[in-house]
Amino acid sequence: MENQQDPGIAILKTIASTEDASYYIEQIDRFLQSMYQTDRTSILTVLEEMLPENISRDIKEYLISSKIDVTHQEQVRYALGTLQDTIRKAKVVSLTIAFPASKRIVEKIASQVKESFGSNLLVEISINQELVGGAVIIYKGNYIDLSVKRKVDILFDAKKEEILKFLA
Amino acid sequence: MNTFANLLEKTKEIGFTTRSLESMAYVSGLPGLKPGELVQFETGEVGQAAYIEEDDAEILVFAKLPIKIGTRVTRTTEVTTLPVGAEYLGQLIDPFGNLLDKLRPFKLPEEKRPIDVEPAGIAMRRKITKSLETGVSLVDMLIPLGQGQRELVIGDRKTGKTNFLLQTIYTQARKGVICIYAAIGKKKFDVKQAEEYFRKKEIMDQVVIMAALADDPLSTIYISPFAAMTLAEYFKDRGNDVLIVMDDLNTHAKFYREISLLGKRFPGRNAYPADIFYTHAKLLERAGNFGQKNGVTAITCLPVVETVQGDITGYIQTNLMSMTDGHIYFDVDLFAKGRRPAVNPFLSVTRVGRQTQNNLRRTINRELTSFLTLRERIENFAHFGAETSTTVKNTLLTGDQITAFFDQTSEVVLEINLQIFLFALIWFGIWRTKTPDQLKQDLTNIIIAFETKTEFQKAVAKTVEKQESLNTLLTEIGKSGTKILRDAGIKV
Repeated sequence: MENQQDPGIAILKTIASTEDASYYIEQIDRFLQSMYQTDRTSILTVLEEMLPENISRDIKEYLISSKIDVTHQEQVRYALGTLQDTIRKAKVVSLTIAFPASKRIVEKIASQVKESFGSNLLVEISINQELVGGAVIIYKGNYIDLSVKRKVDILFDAKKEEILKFLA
Repeated sequence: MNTFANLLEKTKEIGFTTRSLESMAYVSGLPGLKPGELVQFETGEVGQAAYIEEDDAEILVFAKLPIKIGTRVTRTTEVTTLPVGAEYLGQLIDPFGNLLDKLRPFKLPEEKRPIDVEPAGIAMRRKITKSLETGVSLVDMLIPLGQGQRELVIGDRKTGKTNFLLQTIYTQARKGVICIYAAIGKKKFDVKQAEEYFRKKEIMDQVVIMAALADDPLSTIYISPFAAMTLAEYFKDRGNDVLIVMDDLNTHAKFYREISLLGKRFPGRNAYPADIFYTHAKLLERAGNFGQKNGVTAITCLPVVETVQGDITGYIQTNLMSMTDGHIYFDVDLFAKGRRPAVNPFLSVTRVGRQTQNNLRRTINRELTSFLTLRERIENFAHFGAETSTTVKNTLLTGDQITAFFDQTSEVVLEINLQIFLFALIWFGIWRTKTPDQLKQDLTNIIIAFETKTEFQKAVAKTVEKQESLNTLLTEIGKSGTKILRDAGIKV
């Protein structure tokens, strides 16, 4: 039997972080609010004109693979609402790192996280400079501390006497 | 020290507060959380997992202020426990074992026990054989209690329930029984009054007051009777007989209802949660008479429940009646008539107390009960103003004298021997020619003499204890009753 994937999940794979997800949802909202313009022109044209290229392309593919009649406003509206819900309900892996990360690094981290935990996840990045380096990962209530701070704490606890003697 | 960071490091599980209500929080995460497990919030508050669902868990938070949404929470892998130890004797504590008077230094005992445990099984239980004196003659003679019995104290507010309980605690504490007074959702003033009573009577070193005050969080009030029972079990396991008073379970049920309704659990009768019977039954089942390595020890439990306008058919009231071994009913009408204690013996029940009585006490109980029933019937038709015979007049007079004898202020407690002695004097007819007021005055003199004169105490004990039946007691009273009184310097 052909393995058919939920088109919404396929879109989730292309979204890296919760920040990107919010942007995605916002763009869909923008489009939904502009749907009145489709009286004059086709839905797909409005989609291309209104949204960034990658998002409009993804949504177009989503509509086609969901077998939505793109001439029917209500069907499109419903399908995009469902897509928004799918994105909102996506499981989040929370990642706390020690330094502000560039978009490229976030994408790299996200792809690694998706590789480890599953591709339909979103990564939420937060910054805590106290960690010094490494990361703290929270996923489904599990807490994994891979930070330099913790390593230093463990080292300090293990060699407390020696360190204090050295400092004295 | 179990800080949030340490616990997080240990359990490696984290959750986030998603919704917060008074005394309750909903948290997501914590995949390994178990029902009843304690959790710790990063802000220092602790809570107990009440219900666990697929995506979130309902936490009973032991804090006055609601938890902020987004607050991190971690597991502790422990259940709610209470430190237990003899150090608590003479102290006023909260349901977590902390002193209410926080200004005094106090080291918490090291031993801890979970507050929610399964009641002991049937194999551990023994037949109730020892009598429990309350010091209140009406109860001891008509509705006797046994050690290990669960007797509900029921009645409207301000009908003397608490006074009766304090008298019982006083009587039992003097006999060396450990007494635990669990104040559930009470005002601080009421708790202080109870404490003052115990201190004034110099029995505080035998008493522990565990108070969940009216302004405490709902969750703290909810767990307070369970915590008090845990402390009772500790003393029971140490080999002490324990008397535990739960004042009152109606308030407890109301607070539990509030928690359940906040938690959006389906409301049952009177909006109480469906498991209210189970909750109270599980609590009261922990009392009883238990066989142990160091002998048989008992936890006697006196739960209190309030009625409204004398209605004893309420939901919680009837629940508790069905799970206890009887009830003592404080009648608001009798209270209005000036009876103290306002116990209605006809509506009160004791299911196991009589089996603990000796032959003499059982006979007196039987005689008194049938006499009071007869007197009640006679009183009813005497109202019509019919000409009354001498027998009827005598019955009514004796009835008035018995009522005067049972009339007992909260300051007075009577030893069982004295109760029997006084009853025998009345029954024999020593005061036949006196009015109830004169009788009361004489009784007061006898009670004062009994408290101060050891010789009189011994004479009373000697007269009462050697008798096998009421007849022999009355014969003895006829022979030496007035002499004993005269020797004690009492004129009747």
